[in-house]
Amino acid sequence: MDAEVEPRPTGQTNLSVSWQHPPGLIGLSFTNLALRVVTLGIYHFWAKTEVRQRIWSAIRINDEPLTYTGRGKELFFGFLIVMSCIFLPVMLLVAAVAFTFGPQHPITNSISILLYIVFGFLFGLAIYRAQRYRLARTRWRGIRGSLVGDPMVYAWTFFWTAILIPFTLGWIMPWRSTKLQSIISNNTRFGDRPVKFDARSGPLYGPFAVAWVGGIATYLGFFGLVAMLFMAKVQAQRNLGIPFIPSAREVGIIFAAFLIAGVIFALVTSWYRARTINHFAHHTHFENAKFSAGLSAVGLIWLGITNFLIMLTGALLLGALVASMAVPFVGLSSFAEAIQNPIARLIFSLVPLGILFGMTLFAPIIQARSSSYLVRHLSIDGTAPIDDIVQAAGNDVQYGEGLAEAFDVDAI
Amino acid sequence: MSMPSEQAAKLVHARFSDGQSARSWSCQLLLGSGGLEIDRGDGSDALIWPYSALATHTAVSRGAGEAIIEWHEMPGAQVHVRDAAFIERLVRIAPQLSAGGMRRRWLMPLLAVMGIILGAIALAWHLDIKPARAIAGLLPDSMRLTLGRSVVSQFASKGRACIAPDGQRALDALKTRLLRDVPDADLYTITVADIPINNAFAAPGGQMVITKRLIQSAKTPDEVAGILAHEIGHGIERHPEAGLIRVMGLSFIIELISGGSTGGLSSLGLIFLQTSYVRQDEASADQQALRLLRQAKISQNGFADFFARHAKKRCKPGDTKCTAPDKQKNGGGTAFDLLRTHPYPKDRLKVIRGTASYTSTPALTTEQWRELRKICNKKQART
Ligand SMILES: [Zn+2]
Repeated sequence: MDAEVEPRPTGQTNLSVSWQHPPGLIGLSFTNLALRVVTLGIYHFWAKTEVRQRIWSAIRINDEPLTYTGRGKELFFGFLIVMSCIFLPVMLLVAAVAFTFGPQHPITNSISILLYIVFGFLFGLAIYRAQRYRLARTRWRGIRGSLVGDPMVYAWTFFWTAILIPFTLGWIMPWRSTKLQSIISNNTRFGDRPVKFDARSGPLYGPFAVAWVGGIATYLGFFGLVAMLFMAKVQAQRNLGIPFIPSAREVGIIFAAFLIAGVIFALVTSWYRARTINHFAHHTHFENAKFSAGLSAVGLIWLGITNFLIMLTGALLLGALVASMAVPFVGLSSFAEAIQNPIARLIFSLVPLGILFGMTLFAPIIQARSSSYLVRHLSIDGTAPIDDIVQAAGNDVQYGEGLAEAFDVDAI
Repeated sequence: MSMPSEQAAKLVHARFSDGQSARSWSCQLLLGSGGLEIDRGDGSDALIWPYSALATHTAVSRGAGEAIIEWHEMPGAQVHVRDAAFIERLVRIAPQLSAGGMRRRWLMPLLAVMGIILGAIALAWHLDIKPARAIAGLLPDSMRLTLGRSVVSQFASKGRACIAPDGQRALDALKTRLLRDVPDADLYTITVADIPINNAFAAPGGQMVITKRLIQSAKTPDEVAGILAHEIGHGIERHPEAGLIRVMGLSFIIELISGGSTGGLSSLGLIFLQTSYVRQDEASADQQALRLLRQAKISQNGFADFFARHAKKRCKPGDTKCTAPDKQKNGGGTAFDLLRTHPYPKDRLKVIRGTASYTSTPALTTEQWRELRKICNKKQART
C-alpha cells in the first residue's frame, strides 16, 4: 500500500462561496428610474454601476464580499467614445452612400455586407473588453481581478466560428462555446494567480442534440405556422402596393406566438444551458480549488419566467403611468376620442418610451435574482494560499465597456 | 484617565486588508478625533484615516449591517466592518459614504449639464431655429432626388405607375402651369399611382405621388390642381427632407439617452410622432399653394371644395371642435391616408376661403381632364 496521502500545504485556506441577498433593490429601482427620467436617460450608466455595486457585494468568498470599483462616468465615456468614433461615422457613411447611389445599388449593398462583417468582429471584441473591464473593477480583500491576453484572438475566434454556425447547422456551438470560454477563463487572473480551465466539448454534445432537435421542432411547428399565416397577407398587400403595417390585433398574435415559442424553446434548450454551465464550472480550477455547479433546467426556466414577469410588470406599470398622464387633458374618454386631442396624442406617442423605460425598471431585481441563482448553485472545493496572493502589476483598464454598451451584450 | 471601559465600548472588531496581498488581519476600530483609527493589534502604530478622505465603493445604505471603508492614500487597502451602530455613527461623521452622499457628488454636475442642454433647446425653440430644416436646405439636389425616387418607387413600382400618354400630357400641362415661377422646377415630377388608397404626398427632391383614387374622387381639375399645389408647397419648403432628418436625429438622440439599447422599440414612438406634419408645415404649404394657384390663375375654390367635402365626411355634424380626421377611413386607409397626414381641415378651410378671389380659368380643359382621369388605363410594365 503506497498510500499517497497528500499533505495539506501550509498557508492554505479553504475556499467557499455564498450569496447574501442585497436589501433595498425595489427602492433602488425607483430611485434609478426617477434619476433616469430627470437626466433624460443619461443616468443609465450610473444606475448600472450602483446595481453592480450591490450585486458584487452580495457575492461572498469566505464570507467577505466582492467589491465593484467601476464608475458611472467610465461607462458613460466609454459609450460616448464608441458612439462618436464608430457608430456615428458608420451611420453617416451608410447614409451618404445610400443617398448618393440609392438604396439598391451594388455599392450600397457591398458596403452593408462589409459592415456586417466588421460588426460581427466588433461584437466579439466587445464581449472580451467588457469582461476585461468588469474583472479589472472587481476586488476581493483589495486584490483586483484581471483578464490578460489579446482581445483580437477572442474576437477572431468568435467571428469565424459564428460564420460556421449556419454551415454546420449549429453543431459547432458546443465546441465554440467551450473554446470561447476557455480563452476567457484561462486568461482570467485573481491578483497574480491564474484561473485554469480544461473542459472539452465532447460531453456537451448529448444535451446539445436534445436541444437541437427540440429547437428545430419548435421552429417548424410554431414560427413556420405564424409565418405562413402572415406571408399570404404580406404578399397580397405588397401586390397592391401597400406597405405591410400590421394591425394591433396582428401585433398581439405575433407577440403571443413569439412568447409561446420562446417558452417552448427555453424548455428544450435550458437543459443544455444548465449542463454547459455545470460542465464549465466542473473544469475550472483556481490554485488547489475546483469549482462545481448544480444548475438545473427547471431552475433556469423558473428563473427565466419569473424574471420575464417582473420585467413585464415594470413595462406595463410605466406604460400605464405615461398613458394616464393624458387623463388631466382629456378626462376618462375612449381612446378614439382622446386621440383627437393633440396633447393626448403627444402623450400617447410617449407610451412606447415609457414601456421601454419600464422594461428596465426592475433590472436591479432581475439581475440580482440571476446572480443569486448562479452563486447559490456554485461551490468551491479546495484550498488556495490566500495570504500569498498579491496584487498583479499594472495594466489598468481605462475606459468602460463602451463597445459592449453599444452592442447591448451584457450579462451583468 | 479613568475610562478604559468606555474606550472598550467604542472599540469595534473588524477585518483589515492592506491592498498588497489577499491576506486579512483582525483589527480594532475606533472613531478617533483625527479620523478612523485602525489598530492591527500587532504592536505596530494604529493607522489613522481622516474622515473627510474616507471612501467606499459600495454605498452604505441606511441601517446597513456592514461596510467596506477605504482610504485613497492607501490604494486597495480596506476595512470590512460589521457593526450597524458603529457604521451609523461613522456615516454621520463621513456622510460621503452613504448612498445619497455618493450620488450627490456627481448628480449636481450632471443636472447642471442637463439644465444647460434643456436651456439650449428652449432657446432654439424660442428663437425658432429649425435644425432639421437648415440641414435639409444644405442637401445637394442629386441626393434629394435619389432619396425621393426610392420613396416613390416603393409606392408606384411593379406596374402601379400610370402612364397613359394623353393623361401624362394633361398632367404635364398642369404641372408646368403650377411650377411657372418655382426655382428648380425641372426637378419636380408627379407620379400617378394605382394603389387602393386615397392620397397624395411629397417625397424629397420634389417627387410627388398622387393616387388614382384621389383623381377619381376629385369633382373638378381645380381640386386636383389645389392638392398638387399644396404638395409642391411642401416640396418648396423642403418639408419631406426635414421630416426625414428629424426622424434620423431623434432616433439617434433616443439611442444616445437610452444607452444604445433600445433597438427597434424606440422607432415605434417615432413613427407615431412623425406620421403627421406639424400644423405650421401645413399652413406654410397652404400659403405656397395659394400663391402658386394665383400665379397660375387657377381658382382656389377647388382646393377649398376638396377640404370642405372631406371635412364634412369625417366630422360629425354639429361637432364644432372637429379638426382632425375621424378614425373612420375610406378605402383601406393606412398611416399615409391623406387626411391623416394632412390634419386640421377646418382651420385650413377657413384660411383658404378667406383669400381674395381673382380672375381664373379652369386648371385643365374638358378634354385634358377626361384624359387625366383615364391615365391609369395604361400602366408601366411590371419590373
Ligand atoms: Zn400637407
